[in-house]
Amino acid sequence: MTLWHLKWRLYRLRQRAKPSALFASTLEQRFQTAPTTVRRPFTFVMKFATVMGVLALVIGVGTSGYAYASDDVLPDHPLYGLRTTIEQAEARIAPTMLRQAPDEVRAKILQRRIKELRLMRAKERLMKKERMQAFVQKAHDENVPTLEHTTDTRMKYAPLLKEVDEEVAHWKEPSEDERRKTREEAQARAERRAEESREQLERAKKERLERVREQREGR
Amino acid sequence: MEQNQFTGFYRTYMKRVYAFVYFRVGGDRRLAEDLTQDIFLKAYEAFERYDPSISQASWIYTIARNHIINTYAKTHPGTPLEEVEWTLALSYNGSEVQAQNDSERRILEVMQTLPPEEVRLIRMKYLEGWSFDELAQITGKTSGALRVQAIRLLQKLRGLIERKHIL
Repeated sequence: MTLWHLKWRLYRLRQRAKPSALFASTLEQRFQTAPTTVRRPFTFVMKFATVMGVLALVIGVGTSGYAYASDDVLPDHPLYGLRTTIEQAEARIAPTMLRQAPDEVRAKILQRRIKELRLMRAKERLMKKERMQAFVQKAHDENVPTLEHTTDTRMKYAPLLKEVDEEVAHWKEPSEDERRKTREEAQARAERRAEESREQLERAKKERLERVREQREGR
Repeated sequence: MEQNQFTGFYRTYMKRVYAFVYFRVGGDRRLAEDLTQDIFLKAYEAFERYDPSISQASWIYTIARNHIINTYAKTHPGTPLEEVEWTLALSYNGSEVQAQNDSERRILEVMQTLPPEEVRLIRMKYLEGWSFDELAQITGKTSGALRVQAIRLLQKLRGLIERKHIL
């Protein structure tokens, strides 16, 4: 017996195991007419929720990216709070997740504050002096202690620390208006004192004349 | 996958699944049709959840195999699962394979003397009609290796048949 003969026998067996055409077509029709599982409302809701979720995610990521990176977002901008929140989160996770040294993170944030100050001056978007003082002082208090923690970091970030100190000192200095007001107040105080002195002198003079007159009348 | 793609899937695998069932129910056509219908209904219901990373051949073969085993477990409690899975022309209702002549039935009997893995390959390739590529997806072997193995098994089977003077 050849292999072909054996294959032929197996083929004959296989032919016996063929389904009837009627059975095959009847079963096929059953699948074509079978109602599909009704899940459309759920699917629609899921699709809608997915689209809305993706949209919210895109908007959220886009807004956060803009708030974090844009030069337009300065302390007077509505998104500035978001920027500082992202920075605080970054400062918390960077040392563990990104394996960045805390002083590097703080230096980066401080550089951003300095850059913001420069932009505020360039764009003439400086705030009231009290707010500027608070802004600079906050930047100083939040970041400088980390940078001054060791001698190494103090030396490494010396130019940056100097710049921040200058800004703090600058915003603590009185403005021209304040100086003029102080001068005027001092002048007013001086005039008031001079007036008081004149009045005192006049009173003393009168009293002396009074005493002289009384002495003469007494004689 | 979408259920409207099921018709194409059904046309591709219907004959193979039917043959798979046919040789396990002693050639009882009516029973083979009932079980084939059940298998495809199960596949139809599960088709939306079908993971395309699994080959379709492997997926429908698993459904068919599990359905046959479960049916036997219900109707013939105590039958070893291996026997259900590997046995050819297993008598389902007490009668022998009806539509086969003697020589063909003896070929099946000789095949039964081969180890289960070898019977499986010959059965799936030459009796059920799976292609070598589909067999490769089902078994996890390469189609080239399966081709070589199939030729060797045919030669082995021929030797056994000649020794028993069946043909």
